[in-house]
Amino acid sequence: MDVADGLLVVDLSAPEPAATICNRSGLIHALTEAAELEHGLMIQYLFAAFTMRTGEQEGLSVPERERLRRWQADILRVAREEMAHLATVGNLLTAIGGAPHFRRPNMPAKGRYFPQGGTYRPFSLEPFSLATIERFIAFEQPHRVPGEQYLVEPQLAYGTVGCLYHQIKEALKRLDDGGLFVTQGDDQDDDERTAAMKIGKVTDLKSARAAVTSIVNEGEGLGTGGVSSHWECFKQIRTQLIACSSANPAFEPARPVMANPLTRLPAGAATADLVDHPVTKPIAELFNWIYATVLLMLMEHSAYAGETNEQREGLQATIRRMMSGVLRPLGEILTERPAHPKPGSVNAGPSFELYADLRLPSSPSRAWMLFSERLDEAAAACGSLATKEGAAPRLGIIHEHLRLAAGEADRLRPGA
Amino acid sequence: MLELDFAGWFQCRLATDPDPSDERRGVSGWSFAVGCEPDLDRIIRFQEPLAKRSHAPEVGVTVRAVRVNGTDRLEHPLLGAKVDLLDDPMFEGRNGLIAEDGHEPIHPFDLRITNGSVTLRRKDGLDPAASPLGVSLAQLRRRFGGGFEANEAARSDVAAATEIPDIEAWLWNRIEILEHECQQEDDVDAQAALETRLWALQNPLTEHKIRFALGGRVSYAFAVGEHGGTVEVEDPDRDLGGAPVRDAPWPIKFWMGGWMADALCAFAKGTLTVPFKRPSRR
Repeated sequence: MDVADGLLVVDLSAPEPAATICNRSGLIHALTEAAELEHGLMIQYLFAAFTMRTGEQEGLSVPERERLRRWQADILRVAREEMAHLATVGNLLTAIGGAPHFRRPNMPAKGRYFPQGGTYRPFSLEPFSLATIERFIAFEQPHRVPGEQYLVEPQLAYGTVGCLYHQIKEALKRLDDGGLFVTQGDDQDDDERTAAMKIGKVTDLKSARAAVTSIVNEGEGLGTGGVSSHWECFKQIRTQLIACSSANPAFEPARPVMANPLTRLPAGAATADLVDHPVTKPIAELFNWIYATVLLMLMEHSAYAGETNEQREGLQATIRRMMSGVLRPLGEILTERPAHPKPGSVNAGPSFELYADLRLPSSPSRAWMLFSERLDEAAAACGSLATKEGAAPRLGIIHEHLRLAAGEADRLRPGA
Repeated sequence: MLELDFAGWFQCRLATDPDPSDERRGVSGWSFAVGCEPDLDRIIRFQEPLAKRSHAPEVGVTVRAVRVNGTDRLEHPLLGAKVDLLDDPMFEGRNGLIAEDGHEPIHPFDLRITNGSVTLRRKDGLDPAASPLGVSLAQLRRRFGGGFEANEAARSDVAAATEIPDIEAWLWNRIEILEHECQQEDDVDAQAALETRLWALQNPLTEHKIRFALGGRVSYAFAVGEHGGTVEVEDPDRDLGGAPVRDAPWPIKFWMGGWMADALCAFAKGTLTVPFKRPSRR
């Protein structure tokens, strides 16, 4: 990759030696990688969106504020679509005998993704800026790829998201000998909401390829239903951002948020710039706790462990409500709060840290007990934080939302 | 028995799904505070709108018809009276945590009907055994909306009430009017506000929701005061010809719909039934 005239350029002419996926395990491996990509992209997009200034009191003119709001809406829309892509990839995994995948490494993740000729593209939580948008454009850039064969899971090589999906699509066609797809689809959702989110149900080669095509179209292609693709969307934002900055060199679209905020030292690191403000840090930890709880709920929802329809709907609804009514406001609050006690320090942000491996209990009743407890504990912690001096008024509302969600989980849990 | 039919446009400046319920300007949903307007506050205003927009309907819910014991009264002190919901009521759905879309209860529910001298006011109480959140959800459920209706009957009622028989035509007309206004506007802040209104009406992600909401409604039916609350009656000149019953609830049925997202307004129409005591003859 080069930076030329301020634009990030991906060299599409260079050959990308990529391993050909030649068996079910290889395909599961590639789809698991795709799941981590979608998840990692989603949180990077969310982080950038949360850092965007929203008010006149933040030094924006009215036209700048209106413009920023539309960019924020677009980026949040793209993040929601990545969430749907993660779910569709989960269906693809289920369809071929794998399992949906929700784990991911903490940020920053260097030397891990977009392996291409010995180089990688880091995943990093960065505030909204021209450089950040250019990273997003590069992630979603259209692709090309050839390959060679392996028995064991191949060492994947891809320069763009679309490149990986192209390999997956080719592998699906090549490997479908009548025994690749092992599900009738009764372990995948098929309702109004999943249809509205375009989460493709997968039962055979045709539906699998359609699901992958849909993901690629939304990402790098022509978009769907009049809505621009992620690539086009980010390019439009870049053009408008450059114009806004030219018109007003003092234009600051993002709050002064630190990149890759952390609450704990990463493994192997002796030092790091940790969020250590006495009120901000517990809010950041609360965010991570709820984020992990949502991931556990997603895992349970995907497991089809024997819950009733009402319980499954309740689980799905709680996940949705946590995202809109808790995680998003908490993420925004964190970008408005100082990272350190020293006045004038940078602001924090949501770190999306996973402190422990995500593991589900073996039975639905135990899983739900865990969800109910975690939500209760989150509500108690939030209630306590809401009373602290300097805490955001929104924390009181979030506390109410967590109490309601905990109550609902307790009401619905198997065996209650 | 006194039946009061009421109707009119009301304003509600609220964010919509998937924005959080306390979102101040609107981002991901299909309703927004634009330009220099104050932040969204979710308050349902039957009278005296805040920051009224260009081309918004006239806000004001009033009594349109009165019946006494089933007989229409063409002259009655409460004909034309203002209907208001007091104490800053809101649709309390909280992103589905209390109620899903189309089922959000209005809370608090403190209804006042007044012509200036005659006043009827009834505040709906909830079960005294309230939850720690201060609201008994079990009792609040009886005030839940009945879900969003967009069937033929609903659309017909809404179209008649809002006087918008053709939503498609309305949409294109509104876009044309706003584009013209935008071209004529010199003030950059006002222009930016108009551009956002136009963006919402034309963006594929929002315009179909705006269109859909304009044609449907949510119905409510419950008994005001079923679990207590307060009653106020002012009738100094005895114009009502009797006294409302205070120790029985007052049934109310109404719908709210024809959501005009571009104006942050919608239409309300319904009937309040007030049990009445005639003065005894001596």
